[in-house]
Amino acid sequence: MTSVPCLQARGLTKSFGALAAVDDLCFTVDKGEILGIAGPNGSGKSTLFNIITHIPFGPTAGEVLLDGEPIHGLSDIEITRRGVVRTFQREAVFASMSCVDNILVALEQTLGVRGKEAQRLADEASQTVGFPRNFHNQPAGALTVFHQKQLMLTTAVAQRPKVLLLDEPASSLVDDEIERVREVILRLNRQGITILLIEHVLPLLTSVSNRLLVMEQGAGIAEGDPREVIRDPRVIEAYLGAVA
Amino acid sequence: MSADTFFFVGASGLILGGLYALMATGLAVVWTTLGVFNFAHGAFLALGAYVAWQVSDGSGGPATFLLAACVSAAVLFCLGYVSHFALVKPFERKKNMVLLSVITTLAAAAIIENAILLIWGPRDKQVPAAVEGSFELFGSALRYQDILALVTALAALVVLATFLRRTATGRSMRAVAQNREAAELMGLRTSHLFALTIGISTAMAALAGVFIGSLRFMNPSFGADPLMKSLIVVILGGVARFTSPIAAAFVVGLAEAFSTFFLGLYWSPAVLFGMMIAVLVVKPEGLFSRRTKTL
Repeated sequence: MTSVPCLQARGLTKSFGALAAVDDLCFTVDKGEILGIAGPNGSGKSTLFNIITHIPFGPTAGEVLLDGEPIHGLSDIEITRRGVVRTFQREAVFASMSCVDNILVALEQTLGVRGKEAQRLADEASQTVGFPRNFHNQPAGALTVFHQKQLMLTTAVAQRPKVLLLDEPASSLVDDEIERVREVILRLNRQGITILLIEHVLPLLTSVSNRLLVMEQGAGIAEGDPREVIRDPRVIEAYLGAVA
Repeated sequence: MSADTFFFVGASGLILGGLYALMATGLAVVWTTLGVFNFAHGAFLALGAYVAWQVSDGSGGPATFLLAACVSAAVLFCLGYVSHFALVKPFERKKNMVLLSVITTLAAAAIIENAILLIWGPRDKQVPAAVEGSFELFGSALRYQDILALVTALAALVVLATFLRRTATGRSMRAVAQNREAAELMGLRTSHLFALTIGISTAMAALAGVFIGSLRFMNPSFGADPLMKSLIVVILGGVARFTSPIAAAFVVGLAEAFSTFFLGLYWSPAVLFGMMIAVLVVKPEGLFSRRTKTL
């Protein structure tokens, strides 16, 4: 099967003064692929998502290409409109607003769709993600952490992503919830969505990812088959420290 | 107390309540969205009334009054929008932002009141009424202008509630009020939405000002009393729900009307402050609120 590049990062860098949070990072994600991204806390994984999506800031240097077209100079909303959509580590919901209003705010803001069309997209995304329709009129703050994460994912899916950037969708969840997250990720991927997945739950990450990229101090230190990458001595050292 | 008198005093309380609701909801919306108590709200109310007086140019009637009210609301909306960038934005994210905004809004109030004094002078004025005359109901004479004030206030509140619940901009305003960080991450233009919130709030103050200015005589500092009543309303009702300050406004309006009747004009503020202190002691989140801060 021929691989078609979907998202490419070339020399991607984000500096905060003397500190390079992402340092000259290069990788390619093919269409329909799931790229897992691992690394210790502070290794620059979420910053990578930030600079790809310009939420809340763009890169200091380097290029991001979507289907061969540069997107690194675009605004956050334009990047989302082009099909690169992300979720967040923490549950970024509007607690007192109904779940459906949470989804509609995002749709109105990014895609500019309103009314029945927005409602239809919200319903479709809820069905895809498995977010219960009867939660739509509940305040988002009343949901469990799992359902708030589902809501965040539904909001992202409603924005019709080509590339979905999932930032720790399984953090703080129990085993059967993690299993449901795994099923949703695979379902979305089967529908043709390319996925970049940051996750600390390694069994989930290695079971769904086609390839794994491991970051340390902003740089990529290993990339390839997940089962091989997690045995790489550099990766073990990054997670556990140098073996004496 | 005869039934006629009871009805008359009650009706006066409801009319006052409607105007306080209009004013206090504006204050509450700004507080829940920006975390700022706008001490210039009363001055904006006064300015709104003076703009309407200027537009009406001494002539009354429904068309002139409608034009005056619309121009006043539009002018005050623009001023409110711009004032965000002068009074609040330079200090946002600072540790002592609440205190700084108290100082900047108090300064704005002083500037506006003195500007009114310079432009229109110290003499009392009154906005000509839309409808003159009165009618009798249950033995009490009610002015058409009073009824118009109550109906307009309620209609404006329904329009605002619908705007916040049903429109894309309204939803964005509620979103930014609830979780600014998430709203920013979603790409919402928070500065524009904050400015819009203050603009809507000052437009509502202007509308209240136009009616208060048509029911009473106005002078450059006449916004201070409605501001104080609105402060009591917001504390008494709380801000957890959109309807919290509205319900409290009618409680305050009725309390003011009945205390004025039974105890006299000078005791009325003491009664209202007494109610406010009692609520602060017993239910500090407000009579009609839960312990939360939202739109």
